[in-house]
Amino acid sequence: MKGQVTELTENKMQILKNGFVCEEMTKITHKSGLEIFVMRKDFASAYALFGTRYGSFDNVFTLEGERVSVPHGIAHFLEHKMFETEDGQDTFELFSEIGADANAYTSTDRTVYLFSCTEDFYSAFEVLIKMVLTPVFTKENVNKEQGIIAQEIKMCEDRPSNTLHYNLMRAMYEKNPVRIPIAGTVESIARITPELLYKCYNAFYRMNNMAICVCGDVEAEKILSIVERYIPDEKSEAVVFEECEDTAAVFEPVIRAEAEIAKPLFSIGIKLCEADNESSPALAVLCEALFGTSEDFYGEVFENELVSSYNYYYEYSRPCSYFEVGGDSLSPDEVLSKVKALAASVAENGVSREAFERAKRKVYADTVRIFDSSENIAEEMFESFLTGESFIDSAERYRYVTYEEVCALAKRVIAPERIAMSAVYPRQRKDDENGQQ
Amino acid sequence: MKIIEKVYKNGITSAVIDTKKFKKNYFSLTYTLPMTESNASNASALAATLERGCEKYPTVTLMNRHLCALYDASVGVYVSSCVNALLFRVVVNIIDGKYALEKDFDLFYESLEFVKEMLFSPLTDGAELNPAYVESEKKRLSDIIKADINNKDRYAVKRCSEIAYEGTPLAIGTRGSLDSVSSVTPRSAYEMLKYITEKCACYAVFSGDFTEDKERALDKFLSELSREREGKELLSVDIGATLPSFDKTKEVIEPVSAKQGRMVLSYSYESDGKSDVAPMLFDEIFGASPVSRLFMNVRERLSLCYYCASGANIMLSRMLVRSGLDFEKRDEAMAEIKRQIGLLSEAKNISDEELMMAKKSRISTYAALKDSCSQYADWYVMRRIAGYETDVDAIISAIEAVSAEDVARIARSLKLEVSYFLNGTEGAQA
Repeated sequence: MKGQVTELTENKMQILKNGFVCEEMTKITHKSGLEIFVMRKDFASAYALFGTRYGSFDNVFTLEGERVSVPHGIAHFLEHKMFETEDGQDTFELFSEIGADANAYTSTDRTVYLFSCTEDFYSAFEVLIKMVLTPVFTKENVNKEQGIIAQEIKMCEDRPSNTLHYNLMRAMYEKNPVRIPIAGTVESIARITPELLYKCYNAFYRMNNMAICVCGDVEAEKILSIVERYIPDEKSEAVVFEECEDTAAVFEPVIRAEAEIAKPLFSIGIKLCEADNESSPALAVLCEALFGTSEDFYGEVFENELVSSYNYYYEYSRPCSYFEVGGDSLSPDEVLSKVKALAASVAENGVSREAFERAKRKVYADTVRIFDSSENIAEEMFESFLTGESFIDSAERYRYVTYEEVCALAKRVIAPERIAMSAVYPRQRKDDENGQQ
Repeated sequence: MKIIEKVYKNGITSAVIDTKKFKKNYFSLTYTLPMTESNASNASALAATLERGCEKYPTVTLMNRHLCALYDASVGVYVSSCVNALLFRVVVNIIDGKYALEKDFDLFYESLEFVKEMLFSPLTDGAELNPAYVESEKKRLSDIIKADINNKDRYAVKRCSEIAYEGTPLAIGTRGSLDSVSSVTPRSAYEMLKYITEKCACYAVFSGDFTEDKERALDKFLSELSREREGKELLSVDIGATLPSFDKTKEVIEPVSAKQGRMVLSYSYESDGKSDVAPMLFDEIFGASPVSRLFMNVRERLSLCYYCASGANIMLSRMLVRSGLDFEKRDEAMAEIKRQIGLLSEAKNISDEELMMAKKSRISTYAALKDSCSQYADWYVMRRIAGYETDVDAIISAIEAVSAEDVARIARSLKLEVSYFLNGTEGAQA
């Protein structure tokens, strides 16, 4: 069931309601193409984000006829530099003066600037807007940031979880930029210049590529009036994103590494090449039905002590889509063979009806819980901007996923040749496992 | 958002935070017991074993399937600490019954029934817990302890704390040591369960939409918990801690394979009893925010590191400074940290604006506490156990009253007790 559109005013303001979860939100489409989502909630703190559809994945793009290729890590670098103002002041200070707690992050498909506060929301919101609209990149501030980000890169390289993740990406994908860490490498960030940063900013920080999401005790009209004060009406030409051609099969079935750790870690990925927006709710249910902690697979690997820690996850985004199951195990290869056996069975027979019903119930409950946090709500509203799905109807969407839909999806997206593993072993123990190298 | 407390005949104290803000409900039982290595390992092995199965749901899969039927209710058993006390906690997170797809599904009552099964009808073999589960969980606990080295940032903080609190219960991790884990037996774990549930002080808290049905269910559940109270006092833990004293700074450099060094400094400071707001504001100005002295100078101005931050342990009057940086930049970073402490030791160097920003930040954190169903409840229980102020408005008023001189006094009293540096091994540095 879709949320009811009860009002459509001249300024393109829509009130979306969902009676089942008793929630209401406002969606505004500004003339510039900027989308604004506001959910009013009786919380002491309000959370706002200003995000762009631009992440570490977007290293090659076309703008106004010119095809541009930039160094890895530039989206993340740009995010760091957006906090500087023309007079050299750090925008964190401006937020702090108001009592707002600000931050930002970059992932493979997005860059997001955010703050939360309990007082003076609209002043902090103005700081956020001005900051995102006013880039200041100079040779000096770029040089300074290269040192800081190089330290961030080294810190991440010391984390076995980081090695595990990026080796899995390298195993699954041959060309996809998700193989490279979001922050780039010490070498790639050394090639970043103010000119390149402006090029990326001008391409991706266009209003028709961006959204503002707010949750808290705030008024949509006031938010719109601030937006209108700072953001011009005119629409600009859209940037052309470069698609990444990669094969359906994995690039390398297994990548092994060593680190200073106590027990082998593994991460197994199933590439989902034929998933689309429509199948997104069914994907969540399918992942849960396969790897959830109520299911046979988990019962088997856990009760038989094949794994001691265990996690699972599904990624569905513009750059890539996959299921991931990981943890620690004395025998990562044995876990891999169990995942392959499960995949072969599911690709042929689908999942059991019981597993489907359990998974659906779990995913539904997860979605209901999102509405208890202003941060989660704002982040999910931004996710809905990226995917084009309605956030307010998400719980209902899961409610109406069918068994047949999930089984058909399983048969379409799961295949043994799309499975890869990354494993990290303690330095001296790599040979312990069946003599494998 | 009022908190109503009640003391049951069996000695359990309950607190109810009645709010309609959330779509979920939160409930926890917190038992306190003395922190010893043996208690920590037995309690941790017990917690993990209870999550493996009980008489009614003998495997983890059957347990999880039942919880899934309760709309993915999360019922976890955790071991944590509060100053000198070890905490054994049973925590329930569940969506409110009105969001269930079936009508009249009393999810809260059902989740309490599950807690009862898990805690009071565990899988036993006579006088001991299921030996296979206990042995399996001991192995898992040992793995977790050994895996501390995996995360270098956390490992460095842990090592520094072990050195700073050496010889006291504060140096004990909540899982104990590899030796104390190996000493756990199915019988000792079962005895720990009886000891905790029957003899240890217990604090229960509910947060969510407290309807009459829920009130009835909670009353019934808590009043029926069997406790050894007749004629004796329940065990209560002296929460105060005796801390080691250092005549001079203890310096430890540890070689560990890493691409980046990790520096952790442990400072003591003088505080006046349980008033925790001046150290809190010093922490905010010194290194706990992105506009702090450490962030703006060690990271932004000198570009020495990605992070350099402070964190105060108010209940112990200790402050940790931690940073990840190139091996050869340690002395430069250390000098800047000391310089900033020196500057903050004089009230004239703390601007009104800086103090105001710190106050706003902390006040905002407290004001936002009630936006989370579980966070406020957890915060309340911890403060209650440790005997600290639990009235958020009173804390906010105290923050507003702090002066620059109060902050400078904390800076002047700082004493560097332990300087820990995780150095790379030769190969890793090269």
